[in-house]
Amino acid sequence: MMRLFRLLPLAALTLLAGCTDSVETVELSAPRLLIGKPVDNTAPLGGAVKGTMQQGQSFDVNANVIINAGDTLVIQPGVKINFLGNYNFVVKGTLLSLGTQAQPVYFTVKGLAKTDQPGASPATDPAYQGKWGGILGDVTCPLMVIKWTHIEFCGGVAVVSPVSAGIVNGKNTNPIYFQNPQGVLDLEDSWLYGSTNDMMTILGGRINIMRNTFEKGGKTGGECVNVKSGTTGNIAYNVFIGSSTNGSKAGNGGGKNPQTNVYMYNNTFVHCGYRRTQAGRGGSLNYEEGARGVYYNNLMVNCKYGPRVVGSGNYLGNVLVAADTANLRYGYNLNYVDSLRLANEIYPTNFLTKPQATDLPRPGSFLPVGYRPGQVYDGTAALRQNNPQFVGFPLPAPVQRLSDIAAAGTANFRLGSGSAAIGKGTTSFAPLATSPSIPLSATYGATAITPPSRDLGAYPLDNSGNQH
Amino acid sequence: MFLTLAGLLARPATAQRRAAAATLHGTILDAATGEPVIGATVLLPATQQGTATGLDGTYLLRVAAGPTVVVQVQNLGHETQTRTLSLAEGERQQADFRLKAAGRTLAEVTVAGHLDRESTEAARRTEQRADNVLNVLSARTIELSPDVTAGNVVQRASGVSVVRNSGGDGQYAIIRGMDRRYNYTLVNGIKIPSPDPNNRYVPLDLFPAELLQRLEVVKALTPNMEGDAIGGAMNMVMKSAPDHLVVAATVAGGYSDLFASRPFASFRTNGLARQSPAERNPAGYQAQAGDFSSQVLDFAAVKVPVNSLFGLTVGNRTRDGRLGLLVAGSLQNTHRGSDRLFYHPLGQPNPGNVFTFDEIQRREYSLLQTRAGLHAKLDYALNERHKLGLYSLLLRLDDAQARTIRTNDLGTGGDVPMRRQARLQRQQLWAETLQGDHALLPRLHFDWTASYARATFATPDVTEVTSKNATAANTQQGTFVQAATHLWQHSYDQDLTGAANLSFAVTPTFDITVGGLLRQKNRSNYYDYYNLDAATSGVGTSNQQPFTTYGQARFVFNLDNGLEKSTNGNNYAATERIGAGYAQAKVLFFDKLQLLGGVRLEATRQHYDSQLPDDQVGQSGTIRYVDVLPSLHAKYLLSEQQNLRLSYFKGISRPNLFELVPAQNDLNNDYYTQAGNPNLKHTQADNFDLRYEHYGPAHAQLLVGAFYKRLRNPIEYGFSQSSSNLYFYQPTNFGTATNYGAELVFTKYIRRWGLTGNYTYTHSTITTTKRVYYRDATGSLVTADAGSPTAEYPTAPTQVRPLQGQSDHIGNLALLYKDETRGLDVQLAVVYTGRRLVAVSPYRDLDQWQRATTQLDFSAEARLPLHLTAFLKVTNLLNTATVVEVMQAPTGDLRTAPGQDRADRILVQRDVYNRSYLLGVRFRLN
Repeated sequence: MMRLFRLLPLAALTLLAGCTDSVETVELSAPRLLIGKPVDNTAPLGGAVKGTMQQGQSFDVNANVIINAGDTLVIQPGVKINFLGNYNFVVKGTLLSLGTQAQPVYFTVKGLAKTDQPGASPATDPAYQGKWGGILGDVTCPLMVIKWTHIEFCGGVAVVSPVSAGIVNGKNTNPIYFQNPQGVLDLEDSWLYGSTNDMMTILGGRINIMRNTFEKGGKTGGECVNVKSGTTGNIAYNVFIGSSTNGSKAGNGGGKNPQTNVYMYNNTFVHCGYRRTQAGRGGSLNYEEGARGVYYNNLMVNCKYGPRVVGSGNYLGNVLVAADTANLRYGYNLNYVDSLRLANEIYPTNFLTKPQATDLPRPGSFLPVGYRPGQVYDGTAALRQNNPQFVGFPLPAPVQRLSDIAAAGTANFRLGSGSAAIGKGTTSFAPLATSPSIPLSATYGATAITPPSRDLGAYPLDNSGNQH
Repeated sequence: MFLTLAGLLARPATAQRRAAAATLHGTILDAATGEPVIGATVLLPATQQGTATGLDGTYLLRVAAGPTVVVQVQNLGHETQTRTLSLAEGERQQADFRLKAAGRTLAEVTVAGHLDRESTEAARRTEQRADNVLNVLSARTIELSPDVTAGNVVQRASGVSVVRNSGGDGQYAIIRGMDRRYNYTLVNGIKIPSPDPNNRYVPLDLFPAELLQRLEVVKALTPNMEGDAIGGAMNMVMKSAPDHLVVAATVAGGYSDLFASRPFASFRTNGLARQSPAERNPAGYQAQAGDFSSQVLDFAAVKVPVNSLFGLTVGNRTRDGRLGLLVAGSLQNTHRGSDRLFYHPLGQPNPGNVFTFDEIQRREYSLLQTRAGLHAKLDYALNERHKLGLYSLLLRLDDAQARTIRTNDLGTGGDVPMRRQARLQRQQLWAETLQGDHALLPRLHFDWTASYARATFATPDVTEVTSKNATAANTQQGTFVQAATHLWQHSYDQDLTGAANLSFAVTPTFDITVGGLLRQKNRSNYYDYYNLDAATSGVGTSNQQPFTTYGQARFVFNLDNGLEKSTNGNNYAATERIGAGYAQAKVLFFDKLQLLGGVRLEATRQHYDSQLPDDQVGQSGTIRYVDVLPSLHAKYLLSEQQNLRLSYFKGISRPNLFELVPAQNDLNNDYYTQAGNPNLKHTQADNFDLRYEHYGPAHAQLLVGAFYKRLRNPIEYGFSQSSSNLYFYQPTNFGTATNYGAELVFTKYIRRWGLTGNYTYTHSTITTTKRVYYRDATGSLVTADAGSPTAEYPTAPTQVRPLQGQSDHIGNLALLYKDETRGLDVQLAVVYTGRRLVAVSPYRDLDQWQRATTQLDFSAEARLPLHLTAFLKVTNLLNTATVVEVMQAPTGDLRTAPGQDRADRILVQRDVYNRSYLLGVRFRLN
């Protein structure tokens, strides 16, 4: 479908050209990417691997798998990697996981089914039990490309950290871990399901996180995407549902260069922030500790907190872990809430999120006159305003507790006609161009760095966004 | 002879009262060294009338006049001299004697004769006679001082400052500005291992002061001493067997007035599981929530905690003098505490390296320290030439700490977290030393030592529970249980040491000594912890567990899998083998200039096994090096009362074994990764000392000195790059550091008043790499450090600073009042410790400094009938707080935040200990 839309201008051009001359339309098949030798799947996998996991094959993993520095592993469409226990996929070299819409790649646990009935206790939900570790990039990993790939049930304890830094022995890992500011991390059109803590921890990297679905991130803490210093790039057109804390968070802690600069736009956040017990830690998106960037066109539905900008707060007046507020721009974000407690935190108490005239609901419609960022207010007037009219997710939410739904299931977050989110966004900015730029490539880089859309959230009406 | 002499000494007044027609006076000197002989007996055999020489070797004796007065001078270790004089009535005649050494010369630090080895006089004498630069605190000085542990005693020595434990007592010594790692601790001259799980240095608060005969601070090493000290060595000489029956007992009670303002929090330590669930179950055991209890955190409040102190010393010697035994025991029960205000620094400052913090914590510590010490010293002379000694020491310090930490978590604004921790720390030291002393030939002497020592450390089931008082808007409010942690750590450090020395007196003024030492050190560390979360009916802020009591709080395993954390970087095993040999010679020229010099060779082999995976560099490692350590000590006798010393020695400092293990060893630090460094080099230092000493009459003393140290590869923490895109905050060698200073020690008595004091000036510099977090010309926030050059900092930013722990000015002053007739001793002692660096920040300009402190202590004792003495010790009269600061001006509302009382610096930590009192009675027979 997306390819069709992209071909349209090309076709128009061809038509124009056709008026003057006859030009051949050449369609050549692309060579099958095969790097090194095929990886043998006749016996369970473990240890160093490189080469190609061939299309449609299944691999069982019964020990840590390691792509050595300088080596490349290609995973062809339809490959299924089944973890038989708590092992990690360690990437010191290059990983190219190239699923397709028709034939996604799976990193999962053999024979484990998702249990997504609303209201089930997280204590027993396998999504939060860390059945295997994760895809762990080491400091040497130059390129990690993950497209149309399911990554499920991660976050097991690393008894001995298999990477040279970052992960502490005996602590939980993350589904995706990346830590090379010079490297490229591309995650497109993929599904991350379940984790014990952060779903993605990024301690530096040029990132392109586009059009993915994140479900059940973090058991009692953690974000879906947690970005630290040394990270630049875009997080857009993602659906974050049922994150423990925030969907995406950017900070510049950790002493790496360059400064964290992340653009978060056109994301949809649903029911985030309910498994974190500390107050005020955020429940949608978050900028703190020296991070810069922009966030526009995001759609938040019944999240515990609206966007959290940590600034020179008014708690004893101390500057604590302030975001680089001088270099942070935002607006055009829609926040739909069903309960007063949430309405009172659309602009979180004690933080520096400044209401923007372009926000929905309009600040003037519910904030008191003379409102100062961080002050307590009565948000009654914001209740149930600006219904996004999702195609397959009724609002007001018919559930007793918002925390009961943490997975997408059969929900459809596309915008119905009459949605308040249609046409309320801005396209006045371009995606962040990293330096050097992330290559556009079907195999070695980003398929698409999708530009912003005027329709809020991950599903613009022109279908250029999330394809799930 | 001892008995005769003892009798004589006991009756000097009687002797003087006797009517006499003439006066005999003079000085008794050692023929070889020209030094005054203290305590020599000057005797008239005809009448058994006599006296003993004083501290300056002089004597004064009234005698009956006559044409043939026979005078005999005796002293242990010297040949007896007899002279016949003629004395006219009323005559005042001078008779000086120069005594020749009998047999071999006694070792320099052994105090000869009957002089009480525990006395201040003996201490001064040791200083004067020593071959090298040292300071001595005698048992009598210690007894009189306000101090009950060696950790507090040592701060009275010149050039020494202490690092305090959380109860406010001295724990580690910084000698002449050289931090703990640059010093070592000896017991009776034998190095002892440390119970500390990560470090070599020995916590001095382990040692009850009562067991000390004297404490020596050696500042210049001779070749026969182990070479791994740069600041100095502390030698705790424990009480040794007396010449006659000695029975001494002490009973005291005390109180700390910190607990007038709040109760002392106590908990029962016997309920704590000694072993972690993994240790007491089969391998692979997965712990269950039911394996843990938090009941210990329901602290009991003790309104009036009474300290107690008991000591008993019994010693005797057989009639023939061949067998001597001393057994001493000490038991101290001390309630200490501190109230701390702490601005917990955030791992990364605000741009521009502006100090920032994430929490203001108020911590209340209650410490019950149970300090037990038992030692026995046995010496046996096979015959005149062969002696054996056995020394046993058992020390245990149980430190039960009840901690309550209230936090305003400024990051969230609304939740007020509270932590409670019960932590029992048991440190134990057991040492057995067998020594032999053999006069093989009249001029050939051999001695040997075999020693086993084992130091252990354990913190069984350190229990911590966090709860919070939720006050934030739009959330469930109340007090809720949050999480629990249970931690087990234990370690041991064991030394097996053998040493031998052979000395040969070529001439009375020239001797040669050779010797060697072998030591095998084994160290092992175990670390295991379990993180549990509060059991809830669901998750999130609506389903929290209301807090009732710690005993009723329920927990579940959540993220932690309940398995043993044996791979934590704090689990490691290491060995160290030291082989050393030396040769030294001592020669006296013209009775004036003594030279002692030689060279020591020390070979080191260290090995560790770490928790790194085997596909990384350095999972295990072996490190070898050999040091050649020359030294030369010159002592010039300007006069009988004056010495001039000049010395040079080369010393080293070995890294702590833990520092070599490359495993990452900090938990929960998002900002930088701390790890050991197997490429760490040991520190080598050239040390120069110059000292002038004047020993006046009546114990007066004046020492003036200067020193200079040049350290190659000092060990400091900093950032260094481990590989591309990977850098650690780790112990690193930073080029060369210098440390120089001057010292002054004086003692002066005028009638009943005495004034003693010392002052040390030190100055050191070192340059280390640091981080700078700043906004660059393009408006971006960047970090410059060793791993990441920037436009503004093409090379890593550095900072010049003093060595950690070094104060520019350290001073001690004690005013004493001594009334012999009434048996009253009063002392007022003040210790001044100048500003010093206590924590080195990875970030430039954010080092933490301890504000200069002045501590005032008082002690007094009064003689009572029946061999009793009453004593009173009051410490910290001024309620001196320990204040730690960052040298930055506070801005914004921080200026009015709690405890911020300076416009030019930010308070990071303030500890208040209040005063403590001890009142007791001492019994001493003989």
